[in-house]
Amino acid sequence: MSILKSLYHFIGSLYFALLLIASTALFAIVGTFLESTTDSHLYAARLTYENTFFSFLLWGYFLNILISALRRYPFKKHHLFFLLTHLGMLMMLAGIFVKTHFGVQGNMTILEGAGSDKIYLANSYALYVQKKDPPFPELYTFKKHFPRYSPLRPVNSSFQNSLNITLLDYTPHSQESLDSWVKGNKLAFFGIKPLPILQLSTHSETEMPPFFQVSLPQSKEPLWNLLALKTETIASVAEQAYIQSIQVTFRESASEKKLFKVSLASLLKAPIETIKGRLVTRLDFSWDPEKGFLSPALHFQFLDNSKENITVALDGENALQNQYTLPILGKGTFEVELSTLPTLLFLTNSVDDLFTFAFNSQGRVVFISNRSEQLDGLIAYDDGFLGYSREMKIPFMEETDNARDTALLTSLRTKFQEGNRFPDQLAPPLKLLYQACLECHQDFAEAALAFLDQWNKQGGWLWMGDLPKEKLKEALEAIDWQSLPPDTFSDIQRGCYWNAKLFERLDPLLRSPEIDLIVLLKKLEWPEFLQMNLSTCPLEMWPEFLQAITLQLFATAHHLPEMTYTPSISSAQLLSAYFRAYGIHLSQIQRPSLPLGKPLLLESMLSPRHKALTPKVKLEDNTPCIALRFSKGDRQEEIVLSYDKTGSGLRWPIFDGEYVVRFQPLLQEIPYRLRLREARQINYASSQQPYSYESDLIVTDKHSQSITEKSISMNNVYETWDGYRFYLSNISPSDPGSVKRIQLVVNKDPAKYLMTYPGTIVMLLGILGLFFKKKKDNKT
Amino acid sequence: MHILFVIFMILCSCTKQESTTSHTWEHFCCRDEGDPLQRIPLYRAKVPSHWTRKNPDLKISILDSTQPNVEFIIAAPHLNESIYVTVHTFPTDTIEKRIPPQAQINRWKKQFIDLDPTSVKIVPRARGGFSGLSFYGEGIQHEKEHAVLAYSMEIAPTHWAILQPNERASFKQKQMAASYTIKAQGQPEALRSNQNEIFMFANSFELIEEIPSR
Repeated sequence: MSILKSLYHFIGSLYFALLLIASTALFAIVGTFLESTTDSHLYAARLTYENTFFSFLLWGYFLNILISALRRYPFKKHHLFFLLTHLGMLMMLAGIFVKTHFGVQGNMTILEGAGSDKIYLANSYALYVQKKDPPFPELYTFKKHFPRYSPLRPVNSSFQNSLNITLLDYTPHSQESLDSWVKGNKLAFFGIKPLPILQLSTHSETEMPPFFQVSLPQSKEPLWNLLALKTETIASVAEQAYIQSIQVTFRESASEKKLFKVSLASLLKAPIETIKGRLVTRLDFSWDPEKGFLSPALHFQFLDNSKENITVALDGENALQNQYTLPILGKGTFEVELSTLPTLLFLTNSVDDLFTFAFNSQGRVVFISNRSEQLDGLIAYDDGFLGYSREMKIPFMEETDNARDTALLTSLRTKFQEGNRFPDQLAPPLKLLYQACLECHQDFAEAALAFLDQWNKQGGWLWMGDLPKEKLKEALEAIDWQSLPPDTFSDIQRGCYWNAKLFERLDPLLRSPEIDLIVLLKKLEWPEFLQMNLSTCPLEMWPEFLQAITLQLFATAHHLPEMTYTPSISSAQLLSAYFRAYGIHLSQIQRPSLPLGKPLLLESMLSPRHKALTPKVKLEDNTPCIALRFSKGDRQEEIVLSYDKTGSGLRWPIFDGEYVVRFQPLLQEIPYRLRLREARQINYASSQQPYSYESDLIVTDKHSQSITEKSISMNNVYETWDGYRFYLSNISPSDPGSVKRIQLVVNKDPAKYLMTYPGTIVMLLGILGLFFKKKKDNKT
Repeated sequence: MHILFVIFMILCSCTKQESTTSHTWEHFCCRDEGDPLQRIPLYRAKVPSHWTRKNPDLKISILDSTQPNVEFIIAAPHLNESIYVTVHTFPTDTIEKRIPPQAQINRWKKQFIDLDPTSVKIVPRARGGFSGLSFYGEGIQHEKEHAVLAYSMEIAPTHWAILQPNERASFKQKQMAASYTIKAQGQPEALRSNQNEIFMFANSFELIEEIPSR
């Protein structure tokens, strides 16, 4: 009895209080030190504040305060403030206890337009299981410390489920990878048998293995080149594959006659001889792992005449178009066409990044990146019950030949047909042709298109060569210059004539190797006024200069000599001069956007792969992993799951899609449903710096069905009548044009107004009373 | 004491300037798929009390998306003009078939004979699970000065995937996932003087029910 009495007095003594304070201080020091060194609050908390011994400390305080008060029994009047102080402290401690065990603390994530009534309890673990039919999700909890072969229990004990779940294994930290295209050492997607991924050593870049030729059910093309390689030199292997697959066809522009076809590989090896001199080919593959293709192009350079150079862009708005040095003069002597079997090249590296290159049958290049952590193009089958796949959309894969030229001519045809209906709106040269077409009953749109197209193919400032055959010739010969307004037709006719006369000699020279136009004009002994006081005119100034010559001739036409009949000058040449005066030439007409070729859609099934890792000291960064066995009747299935911290990731199917499961935090339902109307970031005026974050919510009390509209912002907490507090902790993304997601911290302290705050007041009253009472005692 | 009294009086005299426009929450129907009886109230917004509402004929289908779901007329008698506010929704079967907000804006721009480029304001916005663009422009239309204040919004892909995961989505889900436009047009001065009310209407426009989430 005396021992109990001694213990009683010890527990209520100052010495015990000092011991408690010292222990608490020690825990606080250790906790602070651990948190600062590990940067992990969880790690520090688990060793200190969440430690069982710390809980004993709190009980120790409670008992110490209680017994130190009870030791004063029987109580006297002068004990009042002392007792008040102790009562206040006891109430505060009781409040802490109630909050710890019955309080609510969690996070809620809501997307604009949606709502939620559930919070995720931080650092908690549960298994989410949802049956497909009926679709009621359930949560299962684990035993503490995740002992192996322990069964999981449903949170809702009344839930009747024939599913038995056993924890087979637990790993505190892991990495989850979602394999799709590359599974092990094979490439797999729907429509083909898994393809082996060949290891390419750095020494064998020039010895590319041959492509597999397959037929893809997703495509109308009969055959595809397909290859999958593992290499660290992605850029050079892709370039080599392109070189190996492309064939180059040279045609004569004017007649479109095929001249020869040769592989790109042989063109790149050495110059070849052509009628326009030596041709050197250069490939600018320009690919960056982060940015993709950076304007790749093929350059065909004629060493003896740079004006014949051709550049073929391999991607972008002008892909596959022959771009000449002087497009203002129309097409060059040659036209180049690329061709290949459509090709898919999958390159992977040591960190499981996948780089997909595609070359369509016209030689266009496309690049698709699939970094291992990306989940772009995810498809969920039956909301995940039948699994997931990744989709890859490869654009432009089924493109028609000469798509852009066709698009341009189609666009022009439409405009000229419009001109048919409103001829007064046509430019004067077109109107002249229109009248000629009327006269000989020809379709104006087709005649104009044919004229522009053939002129462009010939290549020249004005029409060169004989009149075309067939209907266009008839229309051109029917042109009646006299139909022009009487006050101008003479000058116009003279302007056209002298343009034709002068360019009849100049046009052939424009294709010569000479790059200074003034030199050519001096050679032809052209009048000085046409040289515009220039001593030199390099290639880049030719378009402007040639246009200026044409306009100058028209402007000074009435000063020029009368026309004389020149049989070599045709109505086509005259008309082309008139067209030039108005800037009408195919090269000067804005090309319409390229109609998109049909894309190729590939899909590959997604399968997770897990790897155990050494746990990090910062516990918050660990991603636990569990292996589970599900049993239902005589069916069993095992699955490995990684922890999904937000509980919003993929749910994995089991039992052929009868259920889906996810390892996630525990969910707790609250009596309020919150719907997010709008979330926004308010910036300082004329600045991108955020001033405030706000969100407009509709809060529905599920019991009373009352609805409150509320705006909450950072540091502006919303508190319900029963103590639920909602604090806006995050909004993302911040740009005003994106649908936002907010994160709310939700907490509730059930004892706050009943114990903690009143206890504080009582304690303060007691302390103040003791203080003033002591002063009064000292005075007396 | 006098100072305290003065301070007290100053505090009492400080009042918050409040809007004098009274408004009510009104509901609007979605489109139908050929049968006018299919239409159900799906949207709501704050409508100023002096706006005149014009509903589509209950006997005529508004399957055609050129027909508005609802129209409002705002009279501006001092200017002898009216502002017309129309709401259109655009349900589609697949996400790819949606008309992008920028395409709607381009169409509105082309409706002007002569659009003043300095008046054009295009601002991205997001609200209620929808994101898109707002457009303001002034110019000439039908030989008169004309202004347009309009919004083109489409639902976030995340919400689309929940509402229309496949072709078996219900009628209601398909309608909820529909893009919408709100277009106010009229004489520039009249539009400007009613701008705040139009903002209020557009900023309060939302689905009546919350969008389901997993």
